[in-house]
Amino acid sequence: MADPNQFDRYLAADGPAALVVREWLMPVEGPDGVLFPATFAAGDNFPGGYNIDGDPLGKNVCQVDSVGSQANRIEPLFAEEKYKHLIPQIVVKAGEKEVNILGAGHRAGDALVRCSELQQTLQDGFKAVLKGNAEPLAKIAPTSLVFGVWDSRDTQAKLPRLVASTIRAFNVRRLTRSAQFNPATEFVNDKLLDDPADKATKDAYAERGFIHVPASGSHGGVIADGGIRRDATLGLAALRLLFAGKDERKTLTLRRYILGLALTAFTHNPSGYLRQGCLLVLDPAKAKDREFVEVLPTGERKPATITHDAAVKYATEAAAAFGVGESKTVPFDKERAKKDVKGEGDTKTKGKKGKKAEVKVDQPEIVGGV
Amino acid sequence: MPSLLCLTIRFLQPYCHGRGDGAEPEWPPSPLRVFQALVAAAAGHWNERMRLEYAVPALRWLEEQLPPLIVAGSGIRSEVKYRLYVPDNVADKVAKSWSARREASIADYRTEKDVRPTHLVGDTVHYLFPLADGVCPHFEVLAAAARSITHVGWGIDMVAGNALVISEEEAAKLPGRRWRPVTDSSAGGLRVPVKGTLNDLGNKHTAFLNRVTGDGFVPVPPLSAFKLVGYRRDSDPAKRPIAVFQLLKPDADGYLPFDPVRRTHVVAGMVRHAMRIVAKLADKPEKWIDTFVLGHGDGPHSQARADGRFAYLPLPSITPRKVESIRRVLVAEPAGGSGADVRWAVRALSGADLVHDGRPIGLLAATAPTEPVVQRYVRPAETWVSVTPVVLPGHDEARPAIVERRRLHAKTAEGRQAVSVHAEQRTERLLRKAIRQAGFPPELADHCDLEWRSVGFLAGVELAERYIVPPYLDRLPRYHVRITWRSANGQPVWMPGPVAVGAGRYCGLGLFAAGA
Repeated sequence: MADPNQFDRYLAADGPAALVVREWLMPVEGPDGVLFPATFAAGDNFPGGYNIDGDPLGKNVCQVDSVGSQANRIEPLFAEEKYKHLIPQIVVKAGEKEVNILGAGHRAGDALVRCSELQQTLQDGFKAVLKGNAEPLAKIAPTSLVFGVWDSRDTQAKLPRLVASTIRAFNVRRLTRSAQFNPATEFVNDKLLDDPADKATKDAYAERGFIHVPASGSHGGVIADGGIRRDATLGLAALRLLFAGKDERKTLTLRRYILGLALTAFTHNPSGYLRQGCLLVLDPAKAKDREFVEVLPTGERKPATITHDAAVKYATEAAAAFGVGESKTVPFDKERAKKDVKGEGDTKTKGKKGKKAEVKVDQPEIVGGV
Repeated sequence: MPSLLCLTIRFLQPYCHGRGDGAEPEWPPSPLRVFQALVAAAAGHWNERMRLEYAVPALRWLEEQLPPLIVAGSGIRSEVKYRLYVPDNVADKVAKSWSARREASIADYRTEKDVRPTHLVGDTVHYLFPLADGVCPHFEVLAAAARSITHVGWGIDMVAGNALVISEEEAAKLPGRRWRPVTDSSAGGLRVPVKGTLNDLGNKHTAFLNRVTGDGFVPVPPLSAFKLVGYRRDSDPAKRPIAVFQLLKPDADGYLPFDPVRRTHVVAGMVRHAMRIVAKLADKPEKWIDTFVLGHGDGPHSQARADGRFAYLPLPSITPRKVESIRRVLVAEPAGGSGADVRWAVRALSGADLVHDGRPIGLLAATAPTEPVVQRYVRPAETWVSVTPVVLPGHDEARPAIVERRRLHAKTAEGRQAVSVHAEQRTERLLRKAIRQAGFPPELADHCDLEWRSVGFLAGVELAERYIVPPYLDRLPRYHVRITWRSANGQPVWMPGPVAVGAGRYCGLGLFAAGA
């Protein structure tokens, strides 16, 4: 049984400001293997593609997985069998689709979740946060306290993220690749289709795979000569700003619960399959360079060691002491959605529809040919 | 013993996304940004999220302090920004579609978000507030609040905060670049809090919490209680206030051109003479006329030793084809000047005669520094090339012919190489010395890239030795030079003009133009 006090020094007023992990990764193919970072759409002086920036020290740095993307990978682990006991499983059902709050883009503040019978509970939870009591929100949406939340459609309550993780590659060499799609048969030559009379028809044939389509010089991944590193931070100072009103005992219980969830997320290695062509594992050659430290307000860094198993054990005990909220599956309420007159989103100007947050580049099929 | 309140922000990842005015990346984080973080931290620490009370006296004291000295590592802006598309909080629209057995997607409801981080070399920023009597009256409260600061910049910019009272000696040892508040309006501005900022923040917070009502969205008014203060790094040169004059024929019906090879210092002399005349007419103090206008002092050749004087810089016009005649002259105050002297010069000199050998040959007419010809000499640029040769402040190794003779006399290839290297090093040392003497920060003088030769770098520029110089400079070596400004860590530095270097820098020699 885990000692419930074992991490109380992280919750003390004079405790460390943060825990920081820096660990080196590599493509599963090997340290000189090719990996495919995230790609971004072109626009406004950005040519699109990989985000590779000049490093202040003369090299370059390439974003492999952003903070937001890492959070989207980490948070859903609390729905997995091993972890689901730690939090209430809140699911909203709309038609035939079910969305767990863990997958809702705006977490407890998401419009999907507020347009259900949970609306009042969530509103009460956010109002309580504004009044200095995060316990009600922790009962229904504790991971919102870990990864941050903004109730932009209603109370405007905001809580910062406690855990941030990002993966970057250093001193990368950009590669290109070329390929050619060859149709299953020569549709035009074999008279199965008419010769395309104009460009529009030719384009339509190309779109449907009826003619050969070359793709030259497109993104071909990178080789990270400077290595790949995951940096993760757990903000203990931010965690210590969570209160259960003026009740010190309840506040400690709440903080232990959230710390348990945060340590579970923090020590879980979300690398692995990030996207096609980007499967990362720990680099054994740089295991000794792994850094796991407590950062004090003075800047002093002290080694720390918390295994993932120890974090999960602690989280389990802390969750039991806190009392995990009730799991619920609730229907999406169309009527509530109609009545919800509280503006839309964060009220910034709308961008273009149909754009993707990250353009995932799949490897093209090479059918015969080059 | 003087002491300082040192508010420290330590970034836990090597980047920051804070934006300043114009949505440009901001580094270092402005004192106002940190003040806001402190206010938020105080609200969290003492659990007063709706209305701040406990820390109010401390924060009111802090907002009224003078703008702090900032000590920070370098921040390098990303070269390009990248664009994200983040989902709007309208999943209810998507769910409505699903409920009707349709297939809407949240991908259809996204907002563009441009990301352009500042990469950090060094993770720490210190804000140093002088303490009268060496005492910080609200230290305990400010320290507790500082240690509760969690983010500065965006929500992904996690930090650790701290506060200490330190001595000036300890402050001097803090690693990083010094950013000092200055009155020079040309320095980049950072927002700082003022009396009333805390109240304004409170009002804005209340407005933010009430921005979504039953009647729709109510915009939140921007923060207005702050001021913009110029900040400059110790390594940044101060801007030189300037005035520019056209050289016109006596009847003002056209330019009065001069050959830059033969007449540069002559034109400078004529303008200086005109300045002396108008200064006497305006009853300016004799000592000021003698030193500031005429540049006299107790140095060699009666030249001033210090740089407190006007520089008279004849400007050859630079066209796409070549460098042409002098048709304008730029008058510059020393770096960091207030601009009062050049403003007076504009009023006094406009319409004044240009006199040569006792007779008027033309007149001066004030013109705007925004003219394209002038901008080539003043706009910020990384690379600058000489239009008139730089006269070294000393003798370099020897004339090229002598260096070549020494090479031939060397017995080995290594010996010949050593002769050449030694000669080059001597010249380079003198050039860097000249740059420092011109008032540029030592860091920039020591780390800029230099090329020098007799042949000019611009079409239309003559060999360096063909330029006629004042007699007292005639025996000093001169070269055409190309400077690429770099910081100590090799980063490009965009230097504003005018750039004039070397022994004749007050009379138009060693004048540089921004590289193409």
